[in-house]
Formats: sequence, C-alpha cells, structure tokens
Amino acid sequence: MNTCNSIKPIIEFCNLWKSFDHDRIQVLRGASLSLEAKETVALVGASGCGKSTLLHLIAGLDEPDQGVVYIEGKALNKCRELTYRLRHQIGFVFQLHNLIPNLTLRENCLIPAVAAGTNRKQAKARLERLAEATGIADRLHHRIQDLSGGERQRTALCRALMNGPQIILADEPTGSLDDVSRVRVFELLLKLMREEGITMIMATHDLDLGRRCDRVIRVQRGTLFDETSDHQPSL
Amino acid sequence: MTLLRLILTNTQRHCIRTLIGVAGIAFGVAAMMTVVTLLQGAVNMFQRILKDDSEIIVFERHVSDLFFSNVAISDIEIMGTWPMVEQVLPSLFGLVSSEDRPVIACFGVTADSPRLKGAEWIEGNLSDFGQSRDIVLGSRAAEFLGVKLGDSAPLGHDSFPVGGIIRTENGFEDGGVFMPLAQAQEFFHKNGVASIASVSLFDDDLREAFIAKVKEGFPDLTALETEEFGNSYSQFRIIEATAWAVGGSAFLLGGLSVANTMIMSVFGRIREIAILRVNGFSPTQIASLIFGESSVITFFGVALGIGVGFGTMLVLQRVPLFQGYVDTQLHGSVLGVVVALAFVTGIGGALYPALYAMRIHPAEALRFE
Repeated sequence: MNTCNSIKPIIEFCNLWKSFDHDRIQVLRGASLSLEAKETVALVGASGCGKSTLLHLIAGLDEPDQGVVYIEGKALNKCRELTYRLRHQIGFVFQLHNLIPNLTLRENCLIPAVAAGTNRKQAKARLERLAEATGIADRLHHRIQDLSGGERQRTALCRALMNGPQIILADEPTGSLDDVSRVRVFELLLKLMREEGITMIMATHDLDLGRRCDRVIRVQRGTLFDETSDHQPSL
Repeated sequence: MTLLRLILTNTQRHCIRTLIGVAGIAFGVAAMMTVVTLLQGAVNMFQRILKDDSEIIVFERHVSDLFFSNVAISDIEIMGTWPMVEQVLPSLFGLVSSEDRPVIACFGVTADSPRLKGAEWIEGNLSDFGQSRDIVLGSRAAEFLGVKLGDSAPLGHDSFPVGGIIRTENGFEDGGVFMPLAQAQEFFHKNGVASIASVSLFDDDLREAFIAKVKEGFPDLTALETEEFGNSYSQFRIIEATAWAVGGSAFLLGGLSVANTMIMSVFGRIREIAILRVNGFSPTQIASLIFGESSVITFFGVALGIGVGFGTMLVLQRVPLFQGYVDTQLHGSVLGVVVALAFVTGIGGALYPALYAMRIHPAEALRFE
C-alpha cells in the first residue's frame, strides 16, 4: 500500500517527524500514510501516542520537524494557504465541542461561512440541509448551554461540514459522550461522510467504533501501522 | 450571523470588563472636551475683548504677557494722526485684588472705549466716566465685592467710589474693574503708557501698510491683526497646549483601560480564537474581530463621554464662581479632534491584543488549554 509515488491521493505524507520540548519528547518518528478520497480512517493508539499531533500536522496547524504533508498533492507554504485549507478543504471536530457560548446553534454553525464570506442565502440553505441531516433543525435558535452533550457534538459536526470540506479530521469526537450518544454521534458521522463523499481521519480510543471505518491505523512508537493489513507500517 | 454579531456578542460576554473600557474612553473624551472647551473659551473671551475694539493691536515687542507691555501714549497719539487711521484707543491692563479676591482684572480705558459703550449700564452713566475718580464695575465684580453705586470699593491698598455698574457677556469684563486711563496709570505706576493700542482703519486694505509703518517708525512696538495676535500670542498658545496636553493624558488613561480590557478579553479566550482559526478565520479576520470590539467600546465611550462632557460644562456654567468665564460653545473642530483621538486611542489600545491574537498558534492553544 505504498502510495508516496503512485496516483495522487487526497492526503499523503512520508517520513513525518515531530518532537516537542526541544526534541526531548519524540512523538512521531517517520510516520507515513496515504489516503484516497472518501476513505474513512480510524487512528487508534494510547493517550499521548501522537494522534492529535498527527491531525494537527495534516491540517497544517503545526509544522513537522521533518517530512511534508500533501493535500491533493499540494504542500502548505504560506499562512494564506493554511487559511484556505482550513476554510475550504478541512473540517475539524474535537472531543469537546468547542462551540462559542452566547451564540445560538445557528450562529455557531455559520462561523465557517462568515470566515469564508459565503453568500447568506447559500449559507442558510446549506445550514438547513446540514441541520436536518444532523438532527438539530429544531434546536437552531437555542443557546449552547441549553443542549445535551450529544446535541453539542452534532452541532460541532454541522459546523465542520458548513463549508463543504473534502476532509474531516475528528479528534476523539465521541470521547466525552455517554455510551448511547457515542454510538449515535459516530454513526451520524460515518453516515454523513459516506453521503457527502468526505475523507475522514478520526482519532479514537474506541477500537470497536474504529473498526467500522474503512481502515484502522494504529499509532505506536511514533510510527503508523495499518491494522487492516496485518499490522504492517502504513507506508 | 455576521462578523458584527460576533463582535457584539464578545463585548456583551463580560459586561463589567467592557464597561470599564467604555468608562476609560468616556473619561478621556469628557476630560478633553471639558478642559479644551473651557480653556479655549477663556482664550476666546480674552480675544473678544481685543477684537471688539479694533482690527489691529499695537503692543510692546518681545513681551511675554500684555500686562507687561508698555506703549507710550505719545506714540499712540502720533499713530492717531496718520491719515489711514480712523481711531486709536489706548488700554492699560492690570490686576488688582480685594479681600476675598486675589485677582481681579482691571481695565484702564477712556470714555470712548467700546467696552463701556457696548455694555448694558445697570447703574450710573457713561457720560460721567472719567470726570472724577469714580470707577465702573462689572456686575459680577460688584456682586462679589458687595458694593453698589455710590459705595466705596476696596481695591489693593486704596478704595474707589463706584460710579457705575455695567453688565457685559464677557466674563473677564463682567468680573472686572474699569478705571479712567489716567487713574489706572497712576494706580499701576505706569504714567504715560498703555498696555496696548487698539487701532481701527478707514480701509481694511491698509492693514499691511499700517503694520509696516509701525515697524518702521516704532521698532520697539509690534502691530498685529487681532486674528494673527490670537494665533501668535504665547500665553494663548501655552494655555491651548496645556489644555490639549491635559486632555491627551486623560486619553492615555482611556487607551490603557481599553488595552487592558482587550488584553484580558484575548487572554481569556485563546482557545476560542484558535477554534475560529481552525474554522477558517484568517489572522486578519481575527485582528478585525479584536479591532471591531475595541471600536464598539470606543463608540459607546465616545457617546457617553460627549454626554458627560456636555453635562459637566452645563454644571460648571451654573456654578456662580465660573459664570461668565465658562464658554460652553463646543466647536465642531474640537469635537472632531476629540472623537478622532478617541478612536485612535481605542484602536491603539487594541493593537497589541490584536497582534497577540493574530499570532496565537492554534495547535498549541488546542494542546495546552
């Protein structure tokens, strides 16, 4: 499954290194991965193994010490490109919903549209469709503090999908939810990814949920192992 | 949902903090408006004293204050003979004191002074002025000295019979004493001189010629058009500079309060700013958000400050001590400068917080918070 030099994948990186605290904490040691469009991938591993770091590197929020991340064959060069990537190509879902208090669900969901300067009519139509799909249509005018954890996470998902990204990076999106909500939110996430044809990388501790993705990648000792292909490094 | 909605929501989230910022700007606006207007009012009032008399003022060259200026009456008389001159009036300025008032403006004038001619005579007659030792008091001066027509007014080491009481709109005049010129010369030990000569010409076009003639004939004297005098007189410039400096200091405090409010606001939501960044906000949009918030604070601060400033001036106008001295006529240019300075201060105060917010590293903010 080496893809570094084959057809253009949507996400690709080879030999990615990242350390913190002046190289004292080595998190990624030559991680490589290639994903085709519309694939869903579960990133599993122990806490602190580098799952979130990897998601940040893919999004361009952080810079690797070595190696380059390519999205649709393009590396990130400038701040302007990062903004474009976060605005149009990538949506983020976090473990905590990270919604802005004092704003309604509707306003929270529209934040990416405000950032991108999307036409109001288009943004409204998109929001209505996504709110229907995520099951929050009847709560759009409520404030965050009036919602359950599951509803907040569905709102966060709605926000991540607002600008129609090609990739969703989900950092333990069900980590703070109870068992019932966890399964519901995950199923919704997976369903939407498949319906919208979005590539997803989801960091999770829950191997049972992870196995329902197309691929399961284990992060171990700073390297990636594809568990769906007999524990071989993913490169 | 717009950027403005986001800005307004953020300012409403910590009302007390926002109010402190608003109060800081309001304080700056109110202080500058009040101080500048009052001092400019005082300057204008003094300028009006001179303007009412004439188009040109002649005074001694290189004096720091008109009170120290000496223009010989003989020189004034010569100027009066020049064909271009319609009228030359000498005035002697001095300060006297009474028991409760350490400073009272005193004007040594002749009976044809427009100050006396244009005033409302409450008691006494203009025709009697200069016929005896009698002095004329402004109505406020008569009030605080507690004297009326025929009484004796104690001034300095002497006392003078009151021959008239007049009311003028000018605070300096209404709180002042008018003495016949000769008597004032004697009282202030300035025999044969006046402080200024107020000159009226037959034709405005002759002003330059008159000024040149004074320069040529009397090298110790300076002739200036009254407008020009107002702009060049060092005392006025010092007063105006002081007013702007005091107001500027108040604005500095206002700017610091906005800076503090915005810094607290940014530091308190580093993660939120990182989330905005992750959701596609550019660093410029993040900065716009911060500048927008400070602009909202400044806007309300300016509105409140203008209200407080006007209120303060109205109150001062009603305080007996300030009556006649307080000119609450706010000039558009002053208001414009104050509002512009308020926004510069508000934006300046948000500069560091905005730069800080722009530089927030989303990955670090998400990792550690």
